[in-house]
Amino acid sequence: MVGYTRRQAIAASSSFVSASLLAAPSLGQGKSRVVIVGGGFGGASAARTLRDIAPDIDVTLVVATETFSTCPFSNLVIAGEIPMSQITFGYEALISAGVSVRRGVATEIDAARNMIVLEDGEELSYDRAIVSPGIDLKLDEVPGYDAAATEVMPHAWKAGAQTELLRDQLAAMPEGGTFLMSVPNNPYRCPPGPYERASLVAHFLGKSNPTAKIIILDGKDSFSKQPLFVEGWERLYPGMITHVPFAENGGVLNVDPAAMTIETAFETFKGDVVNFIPPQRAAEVLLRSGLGGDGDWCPIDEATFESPHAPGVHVLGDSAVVGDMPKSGFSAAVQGANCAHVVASLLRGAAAERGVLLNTCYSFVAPDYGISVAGVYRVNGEGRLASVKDAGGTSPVGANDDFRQSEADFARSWYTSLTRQIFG
Amino acid sequence: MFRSLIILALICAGGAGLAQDTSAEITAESCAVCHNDSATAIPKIGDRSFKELTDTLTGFRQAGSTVTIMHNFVAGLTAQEIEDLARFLSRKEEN
Repeated sequence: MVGYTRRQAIAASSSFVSASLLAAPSLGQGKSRVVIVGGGFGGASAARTLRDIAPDIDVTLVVATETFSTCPFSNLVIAGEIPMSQITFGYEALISAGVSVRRGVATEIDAARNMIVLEDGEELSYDRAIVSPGIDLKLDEVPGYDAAATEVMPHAWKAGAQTELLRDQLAAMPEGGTFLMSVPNNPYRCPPGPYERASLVAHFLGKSNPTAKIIILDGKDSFSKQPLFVEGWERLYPGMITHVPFAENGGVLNVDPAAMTIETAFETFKGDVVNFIPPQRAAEVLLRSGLGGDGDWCPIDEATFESPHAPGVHVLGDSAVVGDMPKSGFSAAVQGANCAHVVASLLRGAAAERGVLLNTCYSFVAPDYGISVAGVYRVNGEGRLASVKDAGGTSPVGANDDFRQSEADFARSWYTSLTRQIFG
Repeated sequence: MFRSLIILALICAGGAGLAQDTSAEITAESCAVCHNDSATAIPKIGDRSFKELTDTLTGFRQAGSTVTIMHNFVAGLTAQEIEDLARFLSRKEEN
């Protein structure tokens, strides 16, 4: 029996319509070309979907690195539960599917000339571009937290070497030491991520260093899945995690990597390990190219992902303001698939059809204790991609151990499916 | 363009309208992210009939929070969307 995959569903359903329509008049002079920037969930999902639904469109995917390490499940790496290799994926499957994968760093989106400019000087021309390069960290924002400081107080908010650095620092933390975290105000990548991290660090310390403490300095007063996290912390790690909301710290003023301290408006905190997650913004290439307007993130037409500042360029994932959807890998994957349909339609002169978009996000409070949040989004009458009322929400507070175990199992399944769908 | 419309009309004749179909296909992209792999704890949905899918999805409305997530999704879909989605997901079996 064959399992459901998007590719099978597509092959067997209405989308054979797409193929028959690809010889639309506007495409008379050879194949259309879509250039996609960003090899994460958003870009790779868009590339894979376009390959599936629009065989007559050339797809080039520009990726900055040879492999992609996922932020989802990177907290399990930090806690020593799984190796980096388990969250690292290559682009072989995309290449096999017919995507031209180009290793390079985009330095400019030139919408006036329909060109993506790469660092090595090459220019890639496109009929439509999809850009999903993720976040950049605002290293200039908090005094003392510069590039050098990231090597002492890792952010580990882009998975890779930073993840391993924080993992190694945690493993070497002195007995009874303090793991100090700083979490920015919204918006930032993966809203529940810092609290999952605190949970899994507590799980690790509970085994090896049970008198150690975790302090979370928060740039806001409440956070994603808070009742579920707090319930789990009280059950599994009583007294170990202290969450200091913005109202009780007044905001971070500066950091001192030499002293391993974070100074807030009310108090200075010292850590044996410091995980400083700085404020974020859309990837530099987008802001430099004017796609952010006056802001830190890229506004889009929420029905088509097209930038109002760059006609023909569609922005999705963490870089963009995609209605009410959170900045998550799953959201980016769903947006990438959706945007592929939009772009394929537009290139054959048809209107962009919209369906419902879903987001699911699991977090581990412990490796056998999962929690989740779900969201349903659709474009409303004002053109906003809005959360559907009375739908979505978190899994229940007060559920028993079997329920939490099943959510942990689902979390692993969710990750396997998500990554296999795109990279497998 | 007119030729395209004729092709569309022919293809859609006797089935659901293209708009519904495309919309269901796009919604199904979200479903596929989790439900595409048989080797996981999440059930695959590729071998279900139209009736089974409709019954299951509608059943999540009543199930409420005894399930972990699906009731939160189904609450955001209309009855028509559930039907279109179930038709889309089950149809590939016929091919």
